[in-house]
Amino acid sequence: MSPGRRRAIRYRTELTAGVVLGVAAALAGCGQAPSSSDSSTSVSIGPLTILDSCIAEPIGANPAALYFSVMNRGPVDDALVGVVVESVDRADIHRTVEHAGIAWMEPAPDVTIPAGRSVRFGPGAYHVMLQTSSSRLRRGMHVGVHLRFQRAGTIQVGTPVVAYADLDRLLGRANASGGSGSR
Amino acid sequence: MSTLRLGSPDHRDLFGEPFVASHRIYEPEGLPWPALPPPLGARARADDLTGAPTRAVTSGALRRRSAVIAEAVRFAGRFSRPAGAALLAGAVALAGAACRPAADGPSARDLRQLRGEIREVPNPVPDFTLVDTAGHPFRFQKEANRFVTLLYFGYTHCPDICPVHLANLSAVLNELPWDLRQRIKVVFVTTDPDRDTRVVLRQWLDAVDPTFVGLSGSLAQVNAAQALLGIPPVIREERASGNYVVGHAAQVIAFTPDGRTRVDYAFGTRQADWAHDLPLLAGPVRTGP
Repeated sequence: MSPGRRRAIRYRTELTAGVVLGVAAALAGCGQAPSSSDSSTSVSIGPLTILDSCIAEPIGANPAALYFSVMNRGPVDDALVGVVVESVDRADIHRTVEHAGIAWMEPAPDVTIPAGRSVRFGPGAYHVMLQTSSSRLRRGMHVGVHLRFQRAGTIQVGTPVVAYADLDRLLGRANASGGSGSR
Repeated sequence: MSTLRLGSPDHRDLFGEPFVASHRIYEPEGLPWPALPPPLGARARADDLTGAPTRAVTSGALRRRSAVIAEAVRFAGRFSRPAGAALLAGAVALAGAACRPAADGPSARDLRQLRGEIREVPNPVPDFTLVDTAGHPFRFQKEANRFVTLLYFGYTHCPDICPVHLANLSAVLNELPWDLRQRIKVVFVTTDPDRDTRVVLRQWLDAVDPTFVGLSGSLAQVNAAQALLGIPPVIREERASGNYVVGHAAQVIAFTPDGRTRVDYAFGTRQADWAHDLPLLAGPVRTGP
Protein backbone atom coordinates (compact mmCIF):
# COMPACT_ATOMS: atom_id res chain seq x y z
CA MET A 1 0.00 0.00 0.00
CA SER A 2 1.48 3.31 -1.06
CA PRO A 3 1.86 6.21 1.34
CA GLY A 4 -0.56 8.17 -0.84
CA ARG A 5 -3.23 5.54 -0.48
CA ARG A 6 -2.84 5.54 3.30
CA ARG A 7 -3.20 9.28 3.27
CA ALA A 8 -6.26 9.03 1.09
CA ILE A 9 -7.95 6.69 3.55
CA ARG A 10 -7.13 8.95 6.47
CA TYR A 11 -8.68 11.85 4.65
CA ARG A 12 -11.70 9.82 3.86
CA THR A 13 -12.36 9.16 7.54
CA GLU A 14 -12.29 12.90 8.14
CA LEU A 15 -14.85 13.70 5.52
CA THR A 16 -18.21 15.04 6.47
CA ALA A 17 -21.33 13.25 5.40
CA GLY A 18 -22.16 15.61 2.59
CA VAL A 19 -19.07 14.92 0.52
CA VAL A 20 -19.78 13.17 -2.74
CA LEU A 21 -18.29 9.84 -3.60
CA GLY A 22 -16.21 11.45 -6.32
CA VAL A 23 -13.86 12.67 -3.63
CA ALA A 24 -12.43 9.19 -3.20
CA ALA A 25 -11.41 9.20 -6.84
CA ALA A 26 -9.89 12.63 -6.47
CA LEU A 27 -7.97 11.57 -3.40
CA ALA A 28 -6.33 8.73 -5.26
CA GLY A 29 -4.70 11.30 -7.49
CA CYS A 30 -1.27 12.83 -7.96
CA GLY A 31 -0.36 12.24 -4.33
CA GLN A 32 -0.37 8.54 -5.04
CA ALA A 33 2.81 8.82 -7.06
CA PRO A 34 5.60 6.65 -5.73
CA SER A 35 8.42 9.02 -6.70
CA SER A 36 8.97 12.23 -4.86
CA SER A 37 9.40 14.25 -8.04
CA ASP A 38 5.76 14.08 -9.04
CA SER A 39 4.10 13.89 -5.67
CA SER A 40 2.06 16.76 -4.36
CA THR A 41 0.67 17.51 -0.98
CA SER A 42 -2.75 18.72 -0.03
CA VAL A 43 -3.13 22.20 1.33
CA SER A 44 -6.04 23.85 3.08
CA ILE A 45 -7.37 27.34 3.44
CA GLY A 46 -10.41 27.78 5.62
CA PRO A 47 -12.86 25.03 4.78
CA LEU A 48 -11.23 24.37 1.40
CA THR A 49 -8.68 21.66 0.71
CA ILE A 50 -6.74 21.48 -2.54
CA LEU A 51 -5.65 18.00 -3.51
CA ASP A 52 -3.62 16.31 -6.16
CA SER A 53 -2.51 19.27 -8.18
CA CYS A 54 -0.36 18.53 -11.20
CA ILE A 55 0.59 20.21 -14.43
CA ALA A 56 0.86 18.23 -17.65
CA GLU A 57 4.12 19.14 -19.33
CA PRO A 58 3.37 21.11 -22.50
CA ILE A 59 4.31 19.60 -25.83
CA GLY A 60 6.60 22.12 -27.49
CA ALA A 61 5.25 25.65 -27.23
CA ASN A 62 1.67 24.47 -26.86
CA PRO A 63 -0.54 25.16 -23.88
CA ALA A 64 -0.20 23.04 -20.77
CA ALA A 65 -2.98 21.94 -18.44
CA LEU A 66 -3.24 22.28 -14.68
CA TYR A 67 -5.36 19.78 -12.77
CA PHE A 68 -6.39 19.51 -9.13
CA SER A 69 -9.38 18.89 -6.90
CA VAL A 70 -11.02 21.28 -4.46
CA MET A 71 -12.98 20.01 -1.52
CA ASN A 72 -15.29 22.34 0.38
CA ARG A 73 -16.02 21.13 3.92
CA GLY A 74 -17.72 24.35 4.89
CA PRO A 75 -21.43 25.14 5.11
CA VAL A 76 -21.41 27.77 2.34
CA ASP A 77 -20.51 27.73 -1.34
CA ASP A 78 -17.27 29.27 -2.50
CA ALA A 79 -15.97 29.95 -6.00
CA LEU A 80 -12.61 29.77 -7.73
CA VAL A 81 -12.25 33.16 -9.37
CA GLY A 82 -8.63 33.36 -10.46
CA VAL A 83 -5.50 31.34 -11.08
CA VAL A 84 -1.94 32.62 -11.28
CA VAL A 85 0.89 30.21 -12.04
CA GLU A 86 4.53 31.10 -11.61
CA SER A 87 6.56 31.26 -14.83
CA VAL A 88 3.38 31.12 -16.87
CA ASP A 89 2.12 34.07 -18.91
CA ARG A 90 -1.53 33.28 -18.87
CA ALA A 91 -3.83 30.94 -17.00
CA ASP A 92 -7.45 30.46 -18.06
CA ILE A 93 -10.02 28.25 -16.43
CA HIS A 94 -11.71 26.05 -19.02
CA ARG A 95 -14.22 23.33 -19.07
CA THR A 96 -14.20 20.61 -21.69
CA VAL A 97 -17.74 19.96 -22.84
CA GLU A 98 -19.00 17.37 -25.22
CA HIS A 99 -22.19 17.70 -27.18
CA ALA A 100 -23.46 15.67 -30.13
CA GLY A 101 -20.10 13.96 -30.60
CA ILE A 102 -18.05 17.16 -30.57
CA ALA A 103 -15.81 18.23 -27.69
CA TRP A 104 -14.50 21.71 -27.13
CA MET A 105 -13.28 24.06 -24.40
CA GLU A 106 -15.51 26.65 -22.82
CA PRO A 107 -14.18 29.49 -20.67
CA ALA A 108 -15.25 29.09 -17.04
CA PRO A 109 -14.31 32.42 -15.42
CA ASP A 110 -15.53 31.28 -12.02
CA VAL A 111 -16.22 27.80 -10.80
CA THR A 112 -18.57 27.28 -7.87
CA ILE A 113 -17.29 24.94 -5.17
CA PRO A 114 -20.55 23.89 -3.51
CA ALA A 115 -20.73 23.49 0.25
CA GLY A 116 -19.92 19.95 1.36
CA ARG A 117 -18.78 18.82 -2.06
CA SER A 118 -15.70 18.55 -4.21
CA VAL A 119 -14.98 19.74 -7.71
CA ARG A 120 -12.49 17.93 -9.84
CA PHE A 121 -10.25 19.55 -12.42
CA GLY A 122 -9.22 16.65 -14.62
CA PRO A 123 -8.92 15.59 -18.24
CA GLY A 124 -12.27 15.91 -19.95
CA ALA A 125 -13.67 18.05 -17.13
CA TYR A 126 -12.35 21.41 -15.88
CA HIS A 127 -8.76 22.37 -16.49
CA VAL A 128 -6.66 25.51 -16.26
CA MET A 129 -5.02 26.17 -19.60
CA LEU A 130 -1.51 27.55 -19.17
CA GLN A 131 0.24 29.51 -21.86
CA THR A 132 3.90 30.36 -21.80
CA SER A 133 5.83 32.28 -24.44
CA SER A 134 8.55 29.65 -24.28
CA SER A 135 8.64 26.12 -22.97
CA ARG A 136 9.51 26.90 -19.36
CA LEU A 137 7.55 24.10 -17.77
CA ARG A 138 9.55 20.90 -17.69
CA ARG A 139 8.86 17.52 -16.17
CA GLY A 140 10.23 17.20 -12.67
CA MET A 141 9.80 20.88 -11.82
CA HIS A 142 7.65 22.16 -8.98
CA VAL A 143 5.72 25.31 -9.75
CA GLY A 144 3.88 27.69 -7.45
CA VAL A 145 0.18 27.79 -8.27
CA HIS A 146 -1.94 30.52 -6.67
CA LEU A 147 -5.65 29.82 -6.50
CA ARG A 148 -7.93 32.71 -5.60
CA PHE A 149 -11.28 31.90 -4.04
CA GLN A 150 -14.08 34.39 -3.55
CA ARG A 151 -14.53 33.73 0.16
CA ALA A 152 -11.54 31.77 1.39
CA GLY A 153 -8.91 33.97 -0.26
CA THR A 154 -5.73 33.01 -2.11
CA ILE A 155 -3.75 29.86 -1.47
CA GLN A 156 -0.46 28.70 -2.90
CA VAL A 157 -0.04 25.10 -3.97
CA GLY A 158 3.34 23.62 -4.94
CA THR A 159 2.57 21.66 -8.06
CA PRO A 160 4.68 19.08 -9.91
CA VAL A 161 5.02 19.05 -13.69
CA VAL A 162 4.36 15.56 -15.04
CA ALA A 163 4.08 13.87 -18.43
CA TYR A 164 0.69 13.57 -20.10
CA ALA A 165 1.19 9.81 -20.18
CA ASP A 166 1.54 9.80 -16.38
CA LEU A 167 -1.89 11.34 -15.79
CA ASP A 168 -3.45 7.93 -16.34
CA ARG A 169 -1.58 6.58 -13.32
CA LEU A 170 -1.64 9.77 -11.25
CA LEU A 171 -5.25 10.76 -11.61
CA GLY A 172 -6.49 7.20 -11.48
CA ARG A 173 -10.18 6.85 -11.95
CA ALA A 174 -10.53 10.61 -12.19
CA ASN A 175 -9.06 10.35 -15.68
CA ALA A 176 -12.18 8.63 -16.91
CA SER A 177 -14.77 10.74 -18.65
CA GLY A 178 -17.95 11.62 -16.91
CA GLY A 179 -17.94 15.27 -16.05
CA SER A 180 -16.73 17.31 -13.17
CA GLY A 181 -17.80 15.46 -10.05
CA SER A 182 -20.33 18.06 -9.11
CA ARG A 183 -22.22 20.81 -10.86
CA MET B 1 33.68 -1.84 -75.88
CA SER B 2 35.57 1.25 -74.83
CA THR B 3 36.42 1.97 -71.24
CA LEU B 4 33.55 3.44 -69.33
CA ARG B 5 34.43 6.88 -68.02
CA LEU B 6 33.15 7.72 -64.57
CA GLY B 7 30.45 10.41 -64.69
CA SER B 8 29.91 10.03 -68.46
CA PRO B 9 26.37 9.80 -69.92
CA ASP B 10 27.04 6.13 -70.64
CA HIS B 11 27.99 5.58 -67.05
CA ARG B 12 24.87 7.35 -65.90
CA ASP B 13 22.59 5.39 -68.24
CA LEU B 14 24.16 2.07 -67.46
CA PHE B 15 24.17 2.35 -63.68
CA GLY B 16 21.86 5.23 -62.88
CA GLU B 17 18.67 3.99 -64.47
CA PRO B 18 18.46 0.57 -62.87
CA PHE B 19 19.32 2.21 -59.61
CA VAL B 20 16.54 4.78 -59.90
CA ALA B 21 14.11 2.15 -61.13
CA SER B 22 14.81 -0.09 -58.17
CA HIS B 23 15.04 2.70 -55.65
CA ARG B 24 12.32 3.08 -53.11
CA ILE B 25 11.94 6.44 -51.48
CA TYR B 26 12.64 5.94 -47.82
CA GLU B 27 9.40 6.64 -46.04
CA PRO B 28 9.47 5.16 -42.56
CA GLU B 29 5.79 5.98 -42.11
CA GLY B 30 4.77 3.94 -45.09
CA LEU B 31 7.23 1.06 -44.93
CA PRO B 32 5.60 -2.28 -44.33
CA TRP B 33 8.07 -3.45 -41.72
CA PRO B 34 7.95 -7.20 -41.57
CA ALA B 35 6.44 -9.19 -38.80
CA LEU B 36 9.31 -11.60 -38.29
CA PRO B 37 9.10 -14.85 -36.34
CA PRO B 38 10.14 -14.31 -32.72
CA PRO B 39 13.84 -15.36 -32.68
CA LEU B 40 14.55 -13.38 -35.84
CA GLY B 41 12.46 -10.48 -34.60
CA ALA B 42 14.37 -10.35 -31.34
CA ARG B 43 17.70 -10.25 -33.16
CA ALA B 44 16.46 -7.64 -35.63
CA ARG B 45 15.44 -5.44 -32.73
CA ALA B 46 18.89 -5.76 -31.20
CA ASP B 47 20.64 -5.02 -34.49
CA ASP B 48 21.85 -1.46 -34.80
CA LEU B 49 20.82 -0.08 -38.16
CA THR B 50 21.18 3.55 -37.21
CA GLY B 51 21.64 5.65 -40.28
CA ALA B 52 21.60 2.71 -42.64
CA PRO B 53 18.19 3.06 -44.24
CA THR B 54 18.89 6.42 -45.81
CA ARG B 55 21.85 5.12 -47.78
CA ALA B 56 21.66 3.10 -50.93
CA VAL B 57 23.49 -0.17 -50.51
CA THR B 58 23.97 -3.11 -52.77
CA SER B 59 22.67 -6.41 -51.57
CA GLY B 60 26.27 -7.46 -50.97
CA ALA B 61 26.84 -4.52 -48.71
CA LEU B 62 23.45 -5.18 -47.18
CA ARG B 63 24.54 -8.67 -46.25
CA ARG B 64 27.73 -7.39 -44.72
CA ARG B 65 25.96 -4.64 -42.90
CA SER B 66 23.30 -6.77 -41.37
CA ALA B 67 23.25 -10.50 -41.29
CA VAL B 68 19.82 -10.29 -39.75
CA ILE B 69 18.35 -8.36 -42.66
CA ALA B 70 19.94 -10.80 -45.08
CA GLU B 71 18.39 -13.62 -43.12
CA ALA B 72 15.08 -11.84 -43.15
CA VAL B 73 15.21 -11.53 -46.93
CA ARG B 74 16.21 -15.19 -47.30
CA PHE B 75 13.39 -16.08 -45.00
CA ALA B 76 11.08 -14.43 -47.45
CA GLY B 77 12.49 -16.62 -50.17
CA ARG B 78 13.28 -13.67 -52.33
CA PHE B 79 17.03 -13.48 -52.05
CA SER B 80 17.86 -15.10 -55.36
CA ARG B 81 18.24 -11.82 -57.23
CA PRO B 82 21.76 -11.22 -58.43
CA ALA B 83 23.76 -8.73 -56.49
CA GLY B 84 22.84 -5.37 -57.93
CA ALA B 85 21.31 -2.12 -57.01
CA ALA B 86 19.04 -2.59 -54.05
CA LEU B 87 18.12 -0.49 -51.11
CA LEU B 88 18.08 -1.68 -47.58
CA ALA B 89 14.60 -0.26 -47.34
CA GLY B 90 13.60 -2.03 -50.53
CA ALA B 91 14.92 -5.34 -49.31
CA VAL B 92 13.16 -5.00 -46.03
CA ALA B 93 9.99 -4.08 -47.88
CA LEU B 94 10.37 -7.21 -50.00
CA ALA B 95 10.74 -9.33 -46.92
CA GLY B 96 7.73 -7.56 -45.50
CA ALA B 97 5.66 -8.26 -48.59
CA ALA B 98 6.31 -11.96 -48.29
CA CYS B 99 5.67 -12.38 -44.60
CA ARG B 100 3.34 -9.55 -43.73
CA PRO B 101 0.57 -10.43 -41.37
CA ALA B 102 -2.47 -12.07 -42.78
CA ALA B 103 -5.48 -9.80 -43.06
CA ASP B 104 -7.35 -11.73 -40.41
CA GLY B 105 -9.34 -9.60 -38.08
CA PRO B 106 -10.45 -10.44 -34.59
CA SER B 107 -12.66 -13.46 -34.11
CA ALA B 108 -16.25 -12.97 -33.02
CA ARG B 109 -15.18 -14.13 -29.57
CA ASP B 110 -12.42 -11.53 -29.41
CA LEU B 111 -14.81 -8.83 -30.57
CA ARG B 112 -17.16 -9.58 -27.70
CA GLN B 113 -14.35 -8.98 -25.21
CA LEU B 114 -13.45 -5.54 -26.52
CA ARG B 115 -13.81 -2.61 -24.14
CA GLY B 116 -14.23 -0.14 -26.99
CA GLU B 117 -17.63 0.43 -28.54
CA ILE B 118 -18.28 -1.59 -31.68
CA ARG B 119 -20.36 0.41 -34.09
CA GLU B 120 -23.69 -1.23 -34.70
CA VAL B 121 -23.41 -0.95 -38.45
CA PRO B 122 -19.73 -1.45 -39.22
CA ASN B 123 -18.69 1.25 -41.64
CA PRO B 124 -16.33 0.24 -44.38
CA VAL B 125 -12.90 1.79 -43.99
CA PRO B 126 -13.49 5.28 -45.38
CA ASP B 127 -11.77 6.20 -48.62
CA PHE B 128 -10.26 9.64 -48.25
CA THR B 129 -6.89 11.05 -49.19
CA LEU B 130 -5.07 13.72 -47.20
CA VAL B 131 -1.44 14.81 -47.15
CA ASP B 132 1.09 13.41 -44.67
CA THR B 133 3.76 15.47 -42.93
CA ALA B 134 6.29 14.62 -45.64
CA GLY B 135 3.94 16.17 -48.20
CA HIS B 136 2.88 12.89 -49.79
CA PRO B 137 -0.71 11.89 -50.42
CA PHE B 138 -1.98 9.36 -47.90
CA ARG B 139 -4.92 7.27 -49.05
CA PHE B 140 -6.42 6.10 -45.81
CA GLN B 141 -8.25 3.04 -47.06
CA LYS B 142 -5.12 1.65 -48.71
CA GLU B 143 -2.83 2.49 -45.80
CA ALA B 144 -5.20 1.02 -43.23
CA ASN B 145 -5.35 -2.31 -45.04
CA ARG B 146 -3.84 -5.15 -42.96
CA PHE B 147 -3.12 -2.86 -40.02
CA VAL B 148 -4.93 -2.03 -36.86
CA THR B 149 -5.40 1.62 -37.65
CA LEU B 150 -6.22 4.11 -34.93
CA LEU B 151 -7.63 7.32 -36.34
CA TYR B 152 -7.98 10.51 -34.36
CA PHE B 153 -9.06 14.02 -35.27
CA GLY B 154 -7.57 16.77 -33.11
CA TYR B 155 -5.25 19.76 -33.01
CA THR B 156 -1.89 20.63 -31.51
CA HIS B 157 -3.04 23.68 -29.52
CA CYS B 158 -5.32 21.39 -27.54
CA PRO B 159 -4.18 21.18 -23.91
CA ASP B 160 -6.59 18.61 -22.57
CA ILE B 161 -8.10 15.83 -24.65
CA CYS B 162 -5.76 15.40 -27.63
CA PRO B 163 -2.43 15.05 -25.81
CA VAL B 164 -3.96 12.82 -23.14
CA HIS B 165 -5.41 10.42 -25.71
CA LEU B 166 -2.24 10.28 -27.79
CA ALA B 167 0.17 10.08 -24.85
CA ASN B 168 -1.84 7.18 -23.42
CA LEU B 169 -1.69 5.38 -26.75
CA SER B 170 2.03 5.95 -27.13
CA ALA B 171 2.76 4.68 -23.62
CA VAL B 172 0.85 1.47 -24.30
CA LEU B 173 2.28 0.91 -27.79
CA ASN B 174 5.80 1.17 -26.41
CA GLU B 175 5.08 -1.72 -24.07
CA LEU B 176 3.67 -4.05 -26.73
CA PRO B 177 5.65 -6.96 -28.17
CA TRP B 178 7.52 -5.78 -31.24
CA ASP B 179 5.63 -8.01 -33.70
CA LEU B 180 2.30 -6.70 -32.52
CA ARG B 181 3.50 -3.12 -32.51
CA GLN B 182 4.45 -3.40 -36.19
CA ARG B 183 0.83 -4.13 -37.03
CA ILE B 184 -0.61 -0.98 -35.53
CA LYS B 185 -0.72 2.46 -37.13
CA VAL B 186 -1.79 5.66 -35.44
CA VAL B 187 -3.08 8.39 -37.75
CA PHE B 188 -3.70 11.91 -36.44
CA VAL B 189 -5.68 14.28 -38.64
CA THR B 190 -5.48 17.94 -37.74
CA THR B 191 -8.75 19.81 -37.35
CA ASP B 192 -6.84 23.09 -37.27
CA PRO B 193 -5.05 23.29 -40.63
CA ASP B 194 -4.48 27.06 -40.30
CA ARG B 195 -2.13 26.68 -37.33
CA ASP B 196 -1.05 23.08 -37.81
CA THR B 197 1.24 23.32 -40.79
CA ARG B 198 3.02 20.14 -41.80
CA VAL B 199 6.10 21.25 -39.87
CA VAL B 200 4.15 22.16 -36.73
CA LEU B 201 2.26 18.90 -36.90
CA ARG B 202 5.42 16.82 -37.34
CA GLN B 203 7.23 18.53 -34.47
CA TRP B 204 4.28 18.02 -32.17
CA LEU B 205 3.82 14.37 -33.14
CA ASP B 206 7.56 13.74 -32.81
CA ALA B 207 7.31 14.98 -29.23
CA VAL B 208 4.37 12.64 -28.58
CA ASP B 209 5.45 9.64 -30.66
CA PRO B 210 7.57 9.85 -33.81
CA THR B 211 5.84 6.83 -35.32
CA PHE B 212 2.46 8.56 -35.46
CA VAL B 213 1.30 9.60 -38.91
CA GLY B 214 0.11 13.21 -39.23
CA LEU B 215 -2.34 14.22 -41.91
CA SER B 216 -3.66 17.56 -42.99
CA GLY B 217 -5.84 19.04 -45.69
CA SER B 218 -8.21 21.94 -46.09
CA LEU B 219 -10.92 22.16 -43.47
CA ALA B 220 -13.41 21.14 -46.17
CA GLN B 221 -11.37 18.00 -46.91
CA VAL B 222 -11.07 17.14 -43.23
CA ASN B 223 -14.80 17.65 -42.75
CA ALA B 224 -15.50 15.46 -45.76
CA ALA B 225 -13.34 12.71 -44.25
CA GLN B 226 -15.14 13.08 -40.93
CA ALA B 227 -18.52 12.92 -42.68
CA LEU B 228 -17.57 9.49 -44.06
CA LEU B 229 -17.22 8.40 -40.44
CA GLY B 230 -20.42 10.02 -39.26
CA ILE B 231 -18.54 12.71 -37.32
CA PRO B 232 -20.01 16.22 -37.31
CA PRO B 233 -17.91 18.98 -38.90
CA VAL B 234 -15.18 20.77 -36.96
CA ILE B 235 -16.36 23.77 -34.95
CA ARG B 236 -14.18 26.85 -34.82
CA GLU B 237 -15.13 29.37 -32.18
CA GLU B 238 -13.45 32.78 -32.07
CA ARG B 239 -12.49 34.14 -28.67
CA ALA B 240 -12.21 37.74 -27.54
CA SER B 241 -8.46 37.22 -27.03
CA GLY B 242 -8.07 36.91 -30.79
CA ASN B 243 -7.52 33.22 -30.30
CA TYR B 244 -9.92 30.51 -31.24
CA VAL B 245 -10.79 27.11 -29.97
CA VAL B 246 -11.51 24.10 -32.10
CA GLY B 247 -14.32 21.68 -31.40
CA HIS B 248 -13.64 18.17 -32.60
CA ALA B 249 -14.65 14.57 -32.09
CA ALA B 250 -13.20 13.16 -28.87
CA GLN B 251 -13.02 9.48 -29.76
CA VAL B 252 -10.24 7.41 -31.28
CA ILE B 253 -11.62 5.25 -34.08
CA ALA B 254 -10.03 1.85 -34.57
CA PHE B 255 -10.22 -0.28 -37.70
CA THR B 256 -9.33 -3.95 -37.65
CA PRO B 257 -6.76 -5.31 -40.16
CA ASP B 258 -9.50 -6.96 -42.21
CA GLY B 259 -11.27 -3.62 -42.56
CA ARG B 260 -14.52 -5.16 -41.38
CA THR B 261 -14.93 -3.68 -37.95
CA ARG B 262 -14.83 -0.21 -36.52
CA VAL B 263 -14.49 0.27 -32.79
CA ASP B 264 -14.77 3.66 -31.09
CA TYR B 265 -12.78 4.58 -27.98
CA ALA B 266 -14.30 7.49 -26.11
CA PHE B 267 -12.23 9.99 -24.23
CA GLY B 268 -11.47 8.49 -20.85
CA THR B 269 -10.16 5.25 -22.32
CA ARG B 270 -7.46 4.13 -19.92
CA GLN B 271 -4.05 2.71 -20.76
CA ALA B 272 -5.20 -0.61 -19.32
CA ASP B 273 -8.10 -0.61 -21.79
CA TRP B 274 -5.77 -0.10 -24.75
CA ALA B 275 -3.40 -2.79 -23.50
CA HIS B 276 -6.38 -5.13 -23.27
CA ASP B 277 -7.93 -4.32 -26.65
CA LEU B 278 -5.02 -3.80 -29.05
CA PRO B 279 -3.95 -7.47 -29.21
CA LEU B 280 -7.58 -8.46 -29.75
CA LEU B 281 -8.03 -5.91 -32.52
CA ALA B 282 -4.90 -7.17 -34.29
CA GLY B 283 -6.23 -10.71 -34.40
CA PRO B 284 -4.06 -13.82 -34.72
CA VAL B 285 -0.58 -13.45 -36.22
CA ARG B 286 0.01 -15.52 -39.31
CA THR B 287 3.38 -15.14 -40.99
CA GLY B 288 4.86 -16.74 -44.06
CA PRO B 289 3.81 -16.68 -47.71
